[in-house]
Amino acid sequence: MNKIIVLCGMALLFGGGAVHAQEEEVAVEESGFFIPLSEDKPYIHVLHEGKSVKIQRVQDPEYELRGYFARTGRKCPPFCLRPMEAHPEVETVGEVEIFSFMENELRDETGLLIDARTPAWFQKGTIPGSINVPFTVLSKPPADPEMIAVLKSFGAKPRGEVGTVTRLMEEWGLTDTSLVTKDWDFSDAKKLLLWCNGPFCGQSPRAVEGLMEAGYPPEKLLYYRGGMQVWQLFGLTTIIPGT
Amino acid sequence: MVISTAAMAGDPYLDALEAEAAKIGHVEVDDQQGPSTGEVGAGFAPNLSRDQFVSHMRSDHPGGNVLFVQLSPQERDKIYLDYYLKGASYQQVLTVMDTWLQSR
Repeated sequence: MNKIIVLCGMALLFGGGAVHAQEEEVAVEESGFFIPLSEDKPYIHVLHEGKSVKIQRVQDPEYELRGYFARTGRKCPPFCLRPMEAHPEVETVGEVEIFSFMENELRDETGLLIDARTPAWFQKGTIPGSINVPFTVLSKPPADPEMIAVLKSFGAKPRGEVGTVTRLMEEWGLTDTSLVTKDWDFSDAKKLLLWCNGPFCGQSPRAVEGLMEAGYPPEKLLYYRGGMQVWQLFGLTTIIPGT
Repeated sequence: MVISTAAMAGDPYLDALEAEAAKIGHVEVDDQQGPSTGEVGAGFAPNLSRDQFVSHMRSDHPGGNVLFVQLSPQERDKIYLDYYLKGASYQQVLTVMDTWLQSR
């Protein structure tokens, strides 16, 4: 009988008490089906802190989410359900688009998956492949040194003094200025996919707003509204940073 | 890069967030058996995306590509995910593809 080993960990993490990975053997032939990531992807690998992490789904069809992210309600405000869009010009994506982002932009290093939550949340579990850049940084004023350092780390280039010819060309519409602002050139800036705790979470929407204020092109921003709650609801792999 | 939350101290949203994060509680991690469902593979070298891998097979290994295109989508996934990304040589990949096709 074919068996696959599934480590069911983070989805179980928030039930309280000591937390350990649980290894379950799922008999594929007995349960009758394998639960893939999507119709054409059984699983994928992503790099997380220099290690390969396999992203897959919990294979137990009876498994039910428990703990913090299984809760249906939170105090509102501040944890109110939010609109589908973080910003009218920024595309909202779901899990399948994240898989594609992981397979393409993350591997090509043209994109970053950003856990925009505060470090206290990040340390308790994140989506593999994510880096933690809290909304508290991303919503700082564009001229703030920390914001400037973050934008540079995303591949944006400060423009400095612009020559007269360049300025005139831009004013006359003779050069493409869709990816440049007065202060920044975002031509080589990475595509950012931002997420936080879920539909009730305002952290990544705030980060998106902050980046837009700094001039980050909306076509280089993506928002995963489902966040950690929906990610876990589908039994997708999560990881504790530093493990 | 320094990541700070200090600059926003006094923000009621941040205060509420910190109180909410505390509800998750302390997470104890078993060093021997991490809490992730992730699997760490040796020799992982994700230097080509899936699309680039397909192009690479087509342009650099036209012989192997003859076999590759005959595989089912699931088998191509295995070649890409299980073999190529885990550091298999081209010869090993070729052997696996040939064996699969012969066994049909």
